[in-house]
Amino acid sequence: MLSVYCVNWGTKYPRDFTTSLKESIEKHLTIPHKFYCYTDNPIEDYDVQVKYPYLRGVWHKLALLENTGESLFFDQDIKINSNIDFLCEDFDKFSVIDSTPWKPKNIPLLEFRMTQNTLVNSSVMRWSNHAHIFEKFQKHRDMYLRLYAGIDRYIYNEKVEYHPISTDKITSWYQKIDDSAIVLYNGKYK
Amino acid sequence: MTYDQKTINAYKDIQRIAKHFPGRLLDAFSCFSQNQFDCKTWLIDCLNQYPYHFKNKTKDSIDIAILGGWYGLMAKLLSTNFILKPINNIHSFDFDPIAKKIGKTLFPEVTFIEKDVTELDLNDKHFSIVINTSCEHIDQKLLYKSIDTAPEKTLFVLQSNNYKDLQQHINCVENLEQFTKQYESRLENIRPFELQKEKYTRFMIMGVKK
Repeated sequence: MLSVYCVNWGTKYPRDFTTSLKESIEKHLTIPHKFYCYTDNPIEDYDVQVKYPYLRGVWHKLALLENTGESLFFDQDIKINSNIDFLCEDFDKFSVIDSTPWKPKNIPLLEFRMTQNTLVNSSVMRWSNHAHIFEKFQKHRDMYLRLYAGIDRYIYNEKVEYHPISTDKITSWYQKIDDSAIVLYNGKYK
Repeated sequence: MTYDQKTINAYKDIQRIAKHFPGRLLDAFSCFSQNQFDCKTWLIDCLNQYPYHFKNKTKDSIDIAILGGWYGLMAKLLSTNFILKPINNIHSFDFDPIAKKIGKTLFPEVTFIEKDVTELDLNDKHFSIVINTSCEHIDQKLLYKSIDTAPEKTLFVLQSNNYKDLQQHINCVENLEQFTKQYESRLENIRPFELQKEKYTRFMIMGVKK
């Protein structure tokens, strides 16, 4: 069965975000699935204790890749407006969202490279058998944590093999489009 | 601002890093920050006063190992400020291949070795002093392993801190007492030190492997 994951670590997102995400996935994903929330504060029966307590925030997302089988991940700060069955294909590839549609087009290349910027967004991820990505991170975790503020930059700059999900069904609030199937509120909640 | 040949040379180094390794420029600035300089010169000042009975007394000069040496700042400062005995060689170990490339450009007198601390066996080396200034970044089991694989009488200099806000800091200690206690079964003649910084306290111990 398809596994659907999210992570709620720390105090950034109140529990309502997870409850709301779970409900909207139930409403808009018709394919049979099981929902899990990895958290440092398990309360509900679908909650799972994070496996690596020394990791912070978004790095727990990367640890989810240890889980095998057809899997989808969603960030807490997204809004699902309509059917998302279109995501249930190509599980043999590790897929993240192509963020070029909302990235500023005029960032000088040197600045882009100096800041270890990225053209991917991991608010939605899809995979099946990609534990090696997390294993690589764990092997030299300290260096990657020093170099990258988050997993999007890690994936992009460390040449992790990924498939970009390019679709107008997923948009970012930066684009000022709020009726796509999934709207990302990436960077809105600090 | 003082502007002289040294300033020009420093800008040339920055330009070289920006050209060849732009993604590392900010990381290099962190490595060469005032805070890093202060903590490392403090280490050398304390080390120069440690009454260490060198294990290889017949040797005229000693070898020193730096674990997690990054771009080589610790090694460079030691090479110019350590006064207890002449230095034969300073080996700066770090997994990071780009840190090695940048370090070699900046400090050609240092021997940079691309090796992970997890794979390091100090038993077949002859280091009189082993320095690790980033214990808060490293799993405790690996820290113990680095001591356990070293020959007896090796002097260890270890630094950690209580600054838990950084995501890399996975093994902070609460205070100097806790830090010292972690090594009492492995090291003797331990000297503890503490340096108060604005946001945290840095802890240091020096001790000889039993």
